[in-house]
Amino acid sequence: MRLRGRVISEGEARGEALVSSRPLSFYGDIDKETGLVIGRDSDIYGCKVADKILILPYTRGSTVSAWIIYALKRRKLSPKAIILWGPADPVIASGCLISNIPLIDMVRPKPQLYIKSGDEVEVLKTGEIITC
Amino acid sequence: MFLTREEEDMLNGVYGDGLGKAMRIVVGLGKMENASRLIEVKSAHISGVSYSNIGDEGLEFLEELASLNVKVRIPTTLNPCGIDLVKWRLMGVDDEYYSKQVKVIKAYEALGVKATCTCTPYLQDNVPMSGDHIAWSESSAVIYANTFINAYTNRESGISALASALTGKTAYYGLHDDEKRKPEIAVRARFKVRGALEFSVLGYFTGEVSGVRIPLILGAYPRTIPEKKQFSAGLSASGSVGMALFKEWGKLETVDFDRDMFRRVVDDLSVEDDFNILFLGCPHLCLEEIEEIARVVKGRRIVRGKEGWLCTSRSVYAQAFNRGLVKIVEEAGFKVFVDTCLIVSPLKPIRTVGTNAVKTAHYIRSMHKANVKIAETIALLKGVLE
Repeated sequence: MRLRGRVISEGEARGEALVSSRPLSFYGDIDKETGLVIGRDSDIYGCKVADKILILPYTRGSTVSAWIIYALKRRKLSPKAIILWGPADPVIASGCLISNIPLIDMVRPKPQLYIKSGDEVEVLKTGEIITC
Repeated sequence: MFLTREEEDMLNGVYGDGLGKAMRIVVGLGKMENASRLIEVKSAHISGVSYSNIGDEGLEFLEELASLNVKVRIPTTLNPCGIDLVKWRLMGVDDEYYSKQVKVIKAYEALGVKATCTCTPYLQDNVPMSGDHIAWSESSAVIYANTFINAYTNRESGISALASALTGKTAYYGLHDDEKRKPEIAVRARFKVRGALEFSVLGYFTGEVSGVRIPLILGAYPRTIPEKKQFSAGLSASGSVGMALFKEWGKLETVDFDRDMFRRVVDDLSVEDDFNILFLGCPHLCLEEIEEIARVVKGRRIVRGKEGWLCTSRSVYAQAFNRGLVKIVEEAGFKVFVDTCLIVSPLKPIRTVGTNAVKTAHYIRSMHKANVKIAETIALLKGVLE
């Protein structure tokens, strides 16, 4: 299966998908020290985002999130790539741009329907996502 | 995207690496939204100040930037940091944390930023005019500025707001464009929404249902500063939008907000009957809130075993101090802190917190692993007084 979206932060990645159907804030919903999802209303509560291809509808909440993304990257606790099927906002975009984390938004068809947590996926420079 | 000669030069590092780095962020965001050009912004406000949040990585980023001899070009203020920069020992913070936090503040100051450290810059420290284009982070302040002042800002991150502060520019897209400041979903209040708590819940509920769509609110309007502040903060915690609208509009998909919805939001977050710390000041208290608190607590005392925290900005504190309000609340046993708030402070573990703000409840549950009781200010105050 091949999905496609808009490239916000360019890059390539391959790894295990972590898929959530709920919006997430990197500040408040992810613990900077461990990379674990701590937002209590998240359907991926307790999961580790490190080295995952993180797939979400969109990001919400705090504008501090860009700093958290940067800190996670420097600590080697960040996702390998972030895939949204809604629009990216300046918060997630600037965080990924300065951290060199690939970010693709407006992905169609909806990845939630074709990819589940644990699947191996590949993210291409062109904004394509391939299920392996 | 069209760039002037000067903007091109900034991007290519003619004015130094610091400005080049900042311009790459501004232009990168503009490209994402197919912006046609950059515009000047009149002010910036930066989130990501607490050492608890940005850590050593953020501190190094700022110190590296400061070493490149670059300075902000527009008035720029800061969000709360992890401590009261004067009364930090009273908070129980250790020396090491203090010295790290001071390094963060010094790095911002070296960049020319005013270390105001408040989440309510729109009250006194950095007040935009109607129609001003600005580049602000702090999601609640963004919503307040767009919705209640009619300033124009996207929901910037701390990093993109800093980039705009250094360049004096942002890309022309999103909420800078009148065409994009239109609602896509309506929330209709089915009861008379009054007071800070009810508006806080209305905001939070709206963010949950609107997500990335700008909401139109029908049948309710926040009249006081505390109501506006709380509506903005509630919406900012659950949603992903930079503004709401409160005027007549054409037909839209409409969601009702009734008493049951109000109860559901409160009951989901508020799981305690009692609490050991009362925290008021999210967003930072304005003068009229401190007046209200002082009226209730005057001549009374906090019971043994409980604590009362009030957080505000340095400038509001100065006014409250001059009116004798700080003395009244301190005599009642409350601690008044500036520059900080409970959420961004390093204080853990806190067991149970009383709050009138849904935003506090939302973040403190996950970040401090504390349980929360949500109630109106006066009910909360009565819960800690003898």
